[in-house]
Amino acid sequence: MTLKLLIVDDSTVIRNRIARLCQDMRLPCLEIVGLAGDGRQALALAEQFRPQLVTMDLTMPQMDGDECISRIVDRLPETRILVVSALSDKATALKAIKKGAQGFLRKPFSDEQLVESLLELIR
Amino acid sequence: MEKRTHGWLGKYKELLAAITLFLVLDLGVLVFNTFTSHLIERDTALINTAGELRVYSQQLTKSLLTLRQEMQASEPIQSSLAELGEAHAAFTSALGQLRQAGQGSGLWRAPMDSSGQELLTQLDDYWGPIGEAAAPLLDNQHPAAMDVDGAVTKAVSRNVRLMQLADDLTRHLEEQAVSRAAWLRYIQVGAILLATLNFIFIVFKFIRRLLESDRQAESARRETRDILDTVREGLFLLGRDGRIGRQFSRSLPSLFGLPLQGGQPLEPLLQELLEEEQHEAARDYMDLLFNRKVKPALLEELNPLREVALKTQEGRRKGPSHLAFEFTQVQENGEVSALLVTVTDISRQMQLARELAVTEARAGSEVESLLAVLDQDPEQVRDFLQAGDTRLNLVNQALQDVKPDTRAYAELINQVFRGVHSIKGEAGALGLMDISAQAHQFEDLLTPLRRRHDLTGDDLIPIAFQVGELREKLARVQTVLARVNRQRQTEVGASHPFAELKKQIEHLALKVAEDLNKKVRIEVDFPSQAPDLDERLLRNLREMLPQLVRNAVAHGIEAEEERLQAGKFPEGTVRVEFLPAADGSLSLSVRDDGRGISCARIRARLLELGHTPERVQAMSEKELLACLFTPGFSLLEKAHEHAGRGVGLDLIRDMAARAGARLRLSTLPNTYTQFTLQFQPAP
Repeated sequence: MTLKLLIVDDSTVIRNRIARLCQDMRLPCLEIVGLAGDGRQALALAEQFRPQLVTMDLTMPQMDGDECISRIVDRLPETRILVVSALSDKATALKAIKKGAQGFLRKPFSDEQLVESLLELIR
Repeated sequence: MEKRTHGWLGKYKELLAAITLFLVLDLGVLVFNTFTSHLIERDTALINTAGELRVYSQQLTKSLLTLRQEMQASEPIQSSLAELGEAHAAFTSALGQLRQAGQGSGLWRAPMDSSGQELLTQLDDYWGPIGEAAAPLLDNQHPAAMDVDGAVTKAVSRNVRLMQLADDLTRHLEEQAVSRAAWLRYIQVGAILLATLNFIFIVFKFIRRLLESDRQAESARRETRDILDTVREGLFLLGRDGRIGRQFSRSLPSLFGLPLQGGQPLEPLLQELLEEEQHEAARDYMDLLFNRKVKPALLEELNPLREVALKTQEGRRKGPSHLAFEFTQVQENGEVSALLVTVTDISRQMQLARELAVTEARAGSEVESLLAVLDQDPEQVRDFLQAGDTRLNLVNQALQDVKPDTRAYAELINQVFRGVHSIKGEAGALGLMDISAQAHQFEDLLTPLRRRHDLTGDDLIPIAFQVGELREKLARVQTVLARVNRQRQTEVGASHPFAELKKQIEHLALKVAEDLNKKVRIEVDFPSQAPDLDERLLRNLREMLPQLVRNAVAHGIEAEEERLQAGKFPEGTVRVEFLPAADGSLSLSVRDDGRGISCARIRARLLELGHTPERVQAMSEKELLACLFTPGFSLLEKAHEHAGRGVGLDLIRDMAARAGARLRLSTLPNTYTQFTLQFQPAP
């Protein structure tokens, strides 16, 4: 079964990096359905494609990750969310986990760490 | 498990054996009592029987005398005869029973002893002649007087002796019964004594066992106490109700610098120790720890109190400056019942780490950072540097344009934070730790400002400084990257020194077009013979060309629909030309076949920005175009990542000025826009 993945990060570099890694055939079970640069866009894409997995940055313009997670969890309770954020965002990450995100990946991360975190989320 | 059961049995083996013995003894006494009561019953019966012999002998003698008298008086003799028969039968039967008892053996028939036997034989001997003499009278209704007289004589002569013998036997049997009862009593007392001893043994064992386990528990308590008294870490159990357990290590109050009591809630203590934000994070974290659904590995990663700086407060005794909290879940029946919390003083480590960080930063983190560029995909690094540069330009611009009021300041700080945060994340991802650290430092400056509601213009001054620092770092990486690229090209014998630059701007143009949903073809025409360019010029080119190309795609080229309406091909063209002239000067042009720049639009925009209509109308075409180079001026109403915030042209103008180049702009509405940079030959 293919799992739909939405990548949310306000940094193009990070967005592209995650996308490229997922397409690198190392995670053939993932299909990237969207790349969002802010929370509002993320929410729209999530509602449109109903992804099973979301990688979520926390500090973003328009709507920050925290609120975005609340809304996604509210509307798509089956969706699993991996928070991808810097260590200084620990307090925010805790809130995100409390709101229903299932994983946390610290920035900066290695390719292996990303793959491992996504696999952990699928398990 | 089996071993454990075995051990458990072993532990109580003695006690079990003693209890079994106690039960066996009790049962034995019960059985023996039953047996004894049976014997006593039989002895009593025998004594009674022996006693009855005397009565029957008397009765028989009396009935014989009565019979003789009645016969002499010729009176009816039936009742005397009947009485005689009864007495005779009773005596014979009683004697038979005694004889049987005398002959009997086995458990239930205790044999009569020899003296008893002898008395019984004598009784038998004395009774024999009387019985025989009386026998013929019994079956005869009219006995002969002679027979009666014979019987009377025998009975009278023997009756006294017979009664004596019966008395002797009775007494003998009584004595025998008494002695047996005494013997049985001894046995009973002995057994009960044994059972009591056994009971005492059980009680003794039990008490000893109890004392032993009490001693062990006490010893365990003492060990725990010793550990808690000596361990340097703060140790305590935190219950689901958020209260500290009754036992905690002695060092805990000094680590907290606060007096502590078991059962005290932890939360107010943390509130006193930690900054509000951390305190809140700690509360969230502890909630999560009691939630079994969250994975332990994730929890470990998220611990916000792994390294935490304590608030300095006057009320608190002097304690450590930094603490580390570790939480371990204590599970019971699959639920988290409590948390084992370990608190360590890490003030010294933090101090050392700070010193080390300073030393490292001085020594070579920048070099490390610059070297990291070599390991990365050059395109990604270039994207990062461009994006970073743009972000910092926007920040600079925003700093200049910000309205002097608190709300605007707050919005600005948030905008800056987001920009810096992105730079930090991206730098981290690319391993540019020096830049990441600089951005982090910047964030540290911004974080308290974000929480304040009384910002003033003075608060923005350090921001401008930090922007400068960060820009400098980015520029250094840019320089290193450029050098490395040039070196690479030299090493591989690349035929074209601009190959890298060409690739870069092609990539950039397509990316910007894709982001803005436009169709663009990029043509880059560089001379086939590499001109001998000095490094400064090359750096200028690398800085300016991307900005010009970005502008061309973002501002110049129209959206597909607009182009079709204007009768153009849906795909726009951006052409970059680099021409070395014979006199040594160089010209670089970037031309797009887009909408051109309409002076009417510039006028309209100027009016929107609040310029007076008279002034705007009076401006010449040249003056209007010059406005495009004013900082903060943009024709786009809505800003996006690639343009529209009024940065770009003013920046290019500055760069050109610094590089000593002339910047020219020519445009025709709906047809083209061309920027040309004329570099003077190197002296």
